Amino acid sequence: MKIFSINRILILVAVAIASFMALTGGVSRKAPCVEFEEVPVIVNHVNSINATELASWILEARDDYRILDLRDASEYEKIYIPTSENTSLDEIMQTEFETGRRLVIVGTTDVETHVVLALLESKGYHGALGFVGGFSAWRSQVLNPMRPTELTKSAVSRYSMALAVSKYFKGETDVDDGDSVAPKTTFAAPPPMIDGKKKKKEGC
Amino acid sequence: MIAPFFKYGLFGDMTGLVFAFIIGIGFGWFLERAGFGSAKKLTAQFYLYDMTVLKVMFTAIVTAMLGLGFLSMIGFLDLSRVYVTPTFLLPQIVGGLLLGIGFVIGGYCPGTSMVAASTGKKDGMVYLLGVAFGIFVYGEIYSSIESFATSTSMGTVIIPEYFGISYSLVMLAVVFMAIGMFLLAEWSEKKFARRRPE
Repeated sequence: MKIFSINRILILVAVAIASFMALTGGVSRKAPCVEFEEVPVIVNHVNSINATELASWILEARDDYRILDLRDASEYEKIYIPTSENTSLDEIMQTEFETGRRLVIVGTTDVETHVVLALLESKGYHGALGFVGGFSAWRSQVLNPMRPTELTKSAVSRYSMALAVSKYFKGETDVDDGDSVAPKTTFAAPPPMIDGKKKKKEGC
Repeated sequence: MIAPFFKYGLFGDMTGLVFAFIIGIGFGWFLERAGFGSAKKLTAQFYLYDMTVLKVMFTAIVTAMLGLGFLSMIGFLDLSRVYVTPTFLLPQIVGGLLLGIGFVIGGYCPGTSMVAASTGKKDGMVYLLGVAFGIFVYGEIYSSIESFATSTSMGTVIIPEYFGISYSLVMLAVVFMAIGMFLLAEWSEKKFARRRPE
């Protein structure tokens, strides 16, 4: 039997690496410092969802997300995104969220949304998504989609689809109301701020 | 630049799928080359005369663990963004037992049955049909077993955090555990060599 067989060398290398890491203790699950240049990348590409994407999630009846709407209760009562929950920054900071469902933060502005995302990151919760454009994006992109400027076949098809989605979310109201204030929806009241049991299924 | 690249937005869903496809091919190729496309090879570990599966799995665990640990240590990988499956203790014990029973009877686990089927083995193909049927039945009856499937939830449990010890020490312990298992496997293969079919 060779003293320095390949298996023994590999075992020695593994022991050496593990011993080195044990001595230095440099491995942890704490998030490393993010380079300043990477912040826009993280905010714009990873932790965001737009109005049409969120509308499709709701239409698919997915149960792996929670929408938290930070607007005033009076505004929320007039009109809200179906399945959303009205809450405040204080409530968010005091709540321990389950990790199996992604949080979608709907702020009054993108800045407020990103502040909440940063605070959630500091709490160790990394799954939250910022709703791009705030509630006005929901009004303009889902409830009142713009007519296409060019009447190509694909543009008309997309517009027809958007109108159907708009009609669904507006309930019984007329869809051709231009830029007027969107009417109150006919959806059932949103669920209370309690942690659900359903978990997102991931893994091998 | 920090990994995981997908979670830090270096590329989108489509590029992610392309990488997943390439990595999947590599994973399948190595499983097949290690002999994991053969039910005889896979089930041999239960008869203790061929412990290749155990050795390959422990080698993969140690390699991945040390690689992830090293990349984290040099600040390249954010381990906090690597997905860890949440623990549902009781349903996962029951699920593990069911998988083990299926493994002993059928000769494959779901991944290796895919390897066997792709190399043209009929038993692998039949096993895959069973996997698809099982997924379908689980989906259909999920509403009636949901309370059990989501019971004993412990959230995301990591051994170092659960026991309050350092990651690096746990990694060193796993390396020594693997060495112990390799020695045990070698002893077992010699001890039960006569069980090996001619």
